[in-house]
Amino acid sequence: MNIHIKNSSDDPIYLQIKNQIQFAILNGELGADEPLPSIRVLAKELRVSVITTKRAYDELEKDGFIHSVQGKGSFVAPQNQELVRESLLRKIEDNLTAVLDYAKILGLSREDLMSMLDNLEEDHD
Amino acid sequence: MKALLYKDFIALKKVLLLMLVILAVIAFYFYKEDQIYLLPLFFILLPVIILGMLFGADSQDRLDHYLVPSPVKRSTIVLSRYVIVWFMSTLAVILALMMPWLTKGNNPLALDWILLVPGIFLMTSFISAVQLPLMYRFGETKARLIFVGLYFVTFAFFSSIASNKEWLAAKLQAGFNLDSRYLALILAAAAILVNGISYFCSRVIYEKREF
Amino acid sequence: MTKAIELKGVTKKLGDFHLGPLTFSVPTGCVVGYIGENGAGKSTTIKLILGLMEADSGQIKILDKPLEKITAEQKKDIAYVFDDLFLPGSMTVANVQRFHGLLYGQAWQDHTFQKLIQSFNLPEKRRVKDLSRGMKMQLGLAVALSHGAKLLLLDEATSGLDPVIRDDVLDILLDYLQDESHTVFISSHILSDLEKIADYIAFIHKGELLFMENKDSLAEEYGIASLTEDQLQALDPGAVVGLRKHRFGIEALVKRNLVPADLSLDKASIEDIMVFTIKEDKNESLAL
Repeated sequence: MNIHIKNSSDDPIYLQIKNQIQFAILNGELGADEPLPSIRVLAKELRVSVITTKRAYDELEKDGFIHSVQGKGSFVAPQNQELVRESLLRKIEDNLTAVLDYAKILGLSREDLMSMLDNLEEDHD
Repeated sequence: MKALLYKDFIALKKVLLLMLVILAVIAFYFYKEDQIYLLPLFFILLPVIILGMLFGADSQDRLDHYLVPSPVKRSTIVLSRYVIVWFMSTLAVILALMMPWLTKGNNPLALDWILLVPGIFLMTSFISAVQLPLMYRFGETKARLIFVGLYFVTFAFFSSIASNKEWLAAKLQAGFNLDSRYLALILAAAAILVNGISYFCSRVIYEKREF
Repeated sequence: MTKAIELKGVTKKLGDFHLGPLTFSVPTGCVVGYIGENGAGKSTTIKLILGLMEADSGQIKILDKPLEKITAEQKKDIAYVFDDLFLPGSMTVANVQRFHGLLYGQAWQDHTFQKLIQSFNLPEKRRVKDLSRGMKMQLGLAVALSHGAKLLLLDEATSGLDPVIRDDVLDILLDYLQDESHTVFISSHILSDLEKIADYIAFIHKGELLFMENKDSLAEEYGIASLTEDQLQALDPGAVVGLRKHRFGIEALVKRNLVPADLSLDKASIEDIMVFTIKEDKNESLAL
């Protein structure tokens, strides 16, 4: 697993770490029950503060991606692929509903939204 | 304590060796001139010189600043200085006791060992005992100035003694007439008292010192 | 969570300089960057913590024990590195090892010291007086980390060192922090690299603690805005922490939660926060 910290990024460092670990879990790079580096080792390797890596792990745990065992460290939580997929789909649906609500207020057409999406897709990555 | 003495030894290794050489040369010269009995008297000033150098080196290195937060107690830091003085005094006492074997008969300072031990100890630790609390109170540089003053006073004292030979002789006579055991007791008490009070003062001053 | 250092209402008067009242605590297992200008009171605070000075009032606890009750034995748990190595110049590196072996007794780890000395490439026979500033600092750090201390205090120790040595020091500190019971307190007026590993930043200015906060939340709390005079006037005066006016506009350090959401903000570094706050204070005193 690779983790890159970008100082120029607008995202706080803990979020960058969290997102990248989350990504690695979701794309199967990190399998269920695989041990994660301890927060102190991760902090040392990335040269960030312990509190930062701790926050990233706390958020991952809160979202159910990892679980911590006292004295043993953190492990990737078994992901029910179906459930993960469903919950992500639900998130997309929720967000799209919000988009539709906003579009209604501004009176934007479907075409406007599609071109917006195209533009955003180009910028993304 | 061991650490402190080790540090002192390392800091002054060269100077100490030089002093030993000088002392040996002086001892040899005195021996030839048949005045070796004066040798223990050198130890009146020797501890003061060594202390001066130690304080000078420590204040230059800001060593106290380093030692106070370390596991060594402040009272031990102070005591380590007295240990050096007492060691030198003991050396002087041993030398004085050895004199009957070294002198070729000429020894105006030949005294009973019972007087020699406390007497030499008092003489050789006295100036340091006065000086040490001053060093801790006023710092090394100021204390050195005060010491120069003391030096002159001592000098004046000795020269006045020299000009009052008859008076001194009379006093000494009186002293010798006294039972030497009483005199020894008085000297021993004085030596312990002077050093004890001095250590106590230095310790109180050093405990309160800020860096 | 236990506290490695705890100060409660600590004050100290030195001539016309007043420190405190200082109240803050350093949680065990953390790195705290103690920052401020030269003369702000950083060294005085460290001297109080190390017992080199006595506070006029207030309470100091180190590793959960009142400072005045800490025994000589417990002092082995506290390590410190100053801006210079206060050891006799005639000592060699090997002498330094022997000296501290005698000073720390059982707690001293020759093996750890040797390892650190080798990693720093310090020649054993070199005398202290012949070491460069960087080497002295490394030697001091090697000593500090070789007696099993739980709390490490660095007083301006890395100031003025070249970047390569600072980088080595950073690695050594991160290694030290692998043990959860280890705490590091760093005072410095330059934080560029320590900024990375510090969990908390405590900022002292003119003897007063302006804040002690989680470093990450500082970044979330403050931002740098480029403004025009009109935009500045429109802002909540409480939102502006510090200003730098130049001929072509205004840069301001602002609190993110008090400015309009559409105002574009740059990330504020710890140094930005420090400089803007200190300069603002100077401007105000000039205005008076």
